[in-house]
Amino acid sequence: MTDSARGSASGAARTLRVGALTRVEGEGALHVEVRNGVPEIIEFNIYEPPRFFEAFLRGRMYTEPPDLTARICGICPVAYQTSACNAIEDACGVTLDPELVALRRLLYCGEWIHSHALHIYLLHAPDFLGAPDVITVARDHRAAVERGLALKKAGNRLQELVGGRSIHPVNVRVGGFYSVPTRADLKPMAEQLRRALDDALATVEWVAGFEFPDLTIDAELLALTGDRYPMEGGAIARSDGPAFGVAEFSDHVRETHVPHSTALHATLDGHQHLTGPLARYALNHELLSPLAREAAAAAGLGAECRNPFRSIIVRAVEVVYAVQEALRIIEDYERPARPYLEVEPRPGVGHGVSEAPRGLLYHRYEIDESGRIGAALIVPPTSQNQAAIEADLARVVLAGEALDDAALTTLCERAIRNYDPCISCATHFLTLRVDRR
Amino acid sequence: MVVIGVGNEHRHDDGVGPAVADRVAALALAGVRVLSCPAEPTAILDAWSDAELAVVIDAVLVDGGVGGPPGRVHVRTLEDLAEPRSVSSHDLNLAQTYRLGLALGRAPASVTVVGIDVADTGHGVGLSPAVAAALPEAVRTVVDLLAQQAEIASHQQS
Repeated sequence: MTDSARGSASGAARTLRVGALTRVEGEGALHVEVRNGVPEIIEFNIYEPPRFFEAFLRGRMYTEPPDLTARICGICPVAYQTSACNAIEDACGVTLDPELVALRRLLYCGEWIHSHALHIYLLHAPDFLGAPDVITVARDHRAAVERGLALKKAGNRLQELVGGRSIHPVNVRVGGFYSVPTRADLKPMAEQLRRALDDALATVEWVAGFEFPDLTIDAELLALTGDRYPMEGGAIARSDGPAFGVAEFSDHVRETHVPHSTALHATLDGHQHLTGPLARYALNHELLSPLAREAAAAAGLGAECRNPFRSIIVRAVEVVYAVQEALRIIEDYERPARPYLEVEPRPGVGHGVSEAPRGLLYHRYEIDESGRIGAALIVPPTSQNQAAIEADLARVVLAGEALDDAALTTLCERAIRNYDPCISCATHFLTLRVDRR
Repeated sequence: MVVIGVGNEHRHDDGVGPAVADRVAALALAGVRVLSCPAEPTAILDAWSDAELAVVIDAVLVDGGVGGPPGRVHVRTLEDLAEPRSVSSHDLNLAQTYRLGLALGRAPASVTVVGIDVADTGHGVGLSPAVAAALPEAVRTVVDLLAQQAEIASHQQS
């Protein structure tokens, strides 16, 4: 929303400001200063809650992070629960039964479907349709919005079924689940998912028809990889350098304070990097299902996509995959003999990763012999992507020299929304102030 | 008909909406669906799409929490209420869900808001005494509204 967007690009120097907002999930702000068409200051600023979590996790028991860290995000709690479980199970030297891993992946599919559908339809699509919000979109594209809501509902339902409830699931514990569904419990879900697959394919087709501004990222790509398209775990892969083990994450991805933000910025071996759908897709494209690959090809995606505006297509392709994957897991499902493994504490350090809808999420815990947490580190995708987002903003400002302040500010907001549901929805509600010097 | 209790039980008096909804649900009234927020928009749209009446129960902060006697129960329309500050950056709030419902042709025929003035919305569970004391009146108000609607519907049928 622009409360003051005046003037044109005729001046030699101009300042674009996106003012702060107070929200439960954090604050976003944008400050751009341009002199003679050259962006001199590009500062994107997010205040993130995870740093507080790291502090108050100290002294808690090793069984608590899945429930506590789930509260960091209302949209990707499963990612926090999964990375936390992976890290603690690593510290305690436990390997989960394959049936429990499959159930964890099924829950994760629910989160991807729900989170991506929310972002595609409610937060991102309005940008491509010239609408301020989904309510306006619904007036002209009623069937599309209904399709998005149905997809989101399927994801929510899957999270309820496996996780106990759709927001901040309560059924996840270190070592597995408190209770596990029967085959009969999952049967109606399969019917809903078969309908969702049609909706998911229609979504790819729909978003492929949007118009995309030109923009190319050059950041290094970082994502998990493995035997399957990565979700609930995997090994670390990167586009430009040698891969490294999960335990070496902190040696390569370093968080630093920057003066303009209370959120930490992260770099990969000192350079800007990107995690999330574009990175996942580029590094794992061949692991998608044949149907998802076909949908991607029909939508014009090659083996990699480096235009962040087109990330909406990649998300849509990932929804196709997640729906199919959920159907596959349900089809193969045998109720685990035990809902969880007893995990005994042992002193040490554990590392855990998973692919949140927004990208690679790393957890690290130090545990003592009684299971008490001595230190916790959480590196969310949002902090890893901040530098890449600022680089995008610089490119957008350079290319948009001829635009007036209002149009340029709108394009900057869109550039931010390309990345992250949390930031996207925050910026949807930003109050903007544009000052010209 | 559908009854929706809005609020967060972990913010003391903000939990009054769900508390009233729970009591209405316990009455197991025929033809009445009851749910509590935070519920995501598709659940609300599904619950009220074909409803003649949606009764929304919510805590009301008067002048930022000072001025109104806590526990006062009043009936408003959705339009009477200011656009509430969004409590989550991740989903639509109730007013936005209603507007989306209108755009999709999935809004109830009418919406009535039962507001309860509250005192304490700090962190923690449990209602303040004045608000807890207002629960029976709030439940009666909701039940009366449902009964009126049922009467209108029966007249229309006859």
